[in-house]
Amino acid sequence: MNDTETVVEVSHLTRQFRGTRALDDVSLRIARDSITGLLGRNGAGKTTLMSLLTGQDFPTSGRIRVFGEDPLENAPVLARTCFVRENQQYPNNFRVHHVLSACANFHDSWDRDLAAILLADFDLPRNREVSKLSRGMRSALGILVGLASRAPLTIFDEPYLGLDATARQQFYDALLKDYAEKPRTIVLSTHLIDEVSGMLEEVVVLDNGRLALSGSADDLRGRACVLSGPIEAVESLVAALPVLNREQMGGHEAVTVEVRPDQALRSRIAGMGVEISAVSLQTIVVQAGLAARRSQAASTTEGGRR
Amino acid sequence: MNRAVAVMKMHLVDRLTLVVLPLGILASSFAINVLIWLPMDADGRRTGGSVSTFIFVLAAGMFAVIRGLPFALGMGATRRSFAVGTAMTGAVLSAAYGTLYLVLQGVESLTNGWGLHGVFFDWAWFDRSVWPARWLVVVAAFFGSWVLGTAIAALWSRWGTPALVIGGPGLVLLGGGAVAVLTWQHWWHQVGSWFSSQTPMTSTGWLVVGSAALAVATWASLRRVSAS
Repeated sequence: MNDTETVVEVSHLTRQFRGTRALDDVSLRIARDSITGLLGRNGAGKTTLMSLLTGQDFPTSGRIRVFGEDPLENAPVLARTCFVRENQQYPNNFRVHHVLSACANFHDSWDRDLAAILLADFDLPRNREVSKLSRGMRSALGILVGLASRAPLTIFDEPYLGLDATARQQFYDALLKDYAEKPRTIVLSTHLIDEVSGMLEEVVVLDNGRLALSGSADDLRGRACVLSGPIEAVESLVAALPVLNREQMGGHEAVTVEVRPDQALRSRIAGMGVEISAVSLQTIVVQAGLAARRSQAASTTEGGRR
Repeated sequence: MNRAVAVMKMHLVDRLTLVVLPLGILASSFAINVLIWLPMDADGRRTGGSVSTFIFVLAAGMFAVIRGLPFALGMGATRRSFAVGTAMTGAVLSAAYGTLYLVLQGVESLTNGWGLHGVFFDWAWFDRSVWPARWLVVVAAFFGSWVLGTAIAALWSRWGTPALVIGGPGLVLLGGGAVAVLTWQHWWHQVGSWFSSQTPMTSTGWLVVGSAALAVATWASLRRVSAS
């Protein structure tokens, strides 16, 4: 990946709040014109990272480059960003149509037509005060703002809170459709990994303030697979393999192994009654988080012994 | 600069509230004062009720920062353009409200105090002959109220509860101490004559100095504020 293809570059980023380290020595890159999922549990540091990328918070140490420059108080860089928070604040007394007018002034790339279409799709009442919108409607408004801004770097923090399944599907469809028309760099943090996994190209997993995993979603999915079948057969297969997860039910077992489901593996299982299936992104993310915890705990005990 | 203009447009987009709310506050305050005046002698019909409009502007300045800042930063504004745009907004609003205020002062004197010998808008003590100077002092007072509001909100946003816990009682102590000293030294007479010796121009000057100090406090807090 060369520099013109990198929109976000973070190296050794640490953000210390009183008593807690929200981000701990995180280094990562986000490619231009990609949809990146920022995944991790509550308190993993996702929102802190997004605030830092958009110059809304100050790093304790480390380096951030957005479009090749430090985003802090950088007008040309920030003019190309849009960050919609999970609990986005709007000016006092603002009605939905006030939000639309204000956004149009902030973003040169604001698309009025798209805003009008999304307003209708999400059934948002133009004249209602934002403070009187339901949780789902507030999320829909945030999604509308993020998409219609068409900002070269658009960041959504948990964009679908309170949205029902239909509205979530509308969000994914609208995002993918508009992204196809006008590619840009989109980062979205989420818990609903499996639901969005289909549209994520890149994945960044944070755990406890540290980078647990990052890479292309397809590549990550291809790193592991699930072997399932009779316990004895599966166990004999996985004895020498790195096991991520093990589930038993009756005489049947499904084991997630960190092995590429390639031809070599396929020929090994032939005739054993064992099946290979794809592993879900969620399983990989959860396992990466747990593995990060274990190695952190191990290094802490080691440190204690010294 | 165009970001600062976007910030100003954001503050001013809800025009209905910016027109209806202060007029409503003014009207209700005026109505209450008229009711109080009616049973009174004509020479007692003086009130500072129009101060409510300055308090409205102070509150608007506070909300502009507390609610406007997180939104503007999310939309890609810098803290600097937010501060500049918010100051420009204060100037525009002060000029508009100041003009209206001066017109109502004029109506008050032309109608002989709304036909009641009442003093609602013209409560200040200085020479009423030069209207540009009086306009200036009213505009400066509105602007000062706006900047006071933004300064309070910016200090709160930057420093959180400690700003209020330390700042609030601190100001009370400072104010109380000043009152005690003035009383103790029998200086109240001098204070009164100092105030009555002020002209519209000197008052404007003091308001500008005060606003500048508050603007510095606002920016000092905003430049390192973390939005959330």
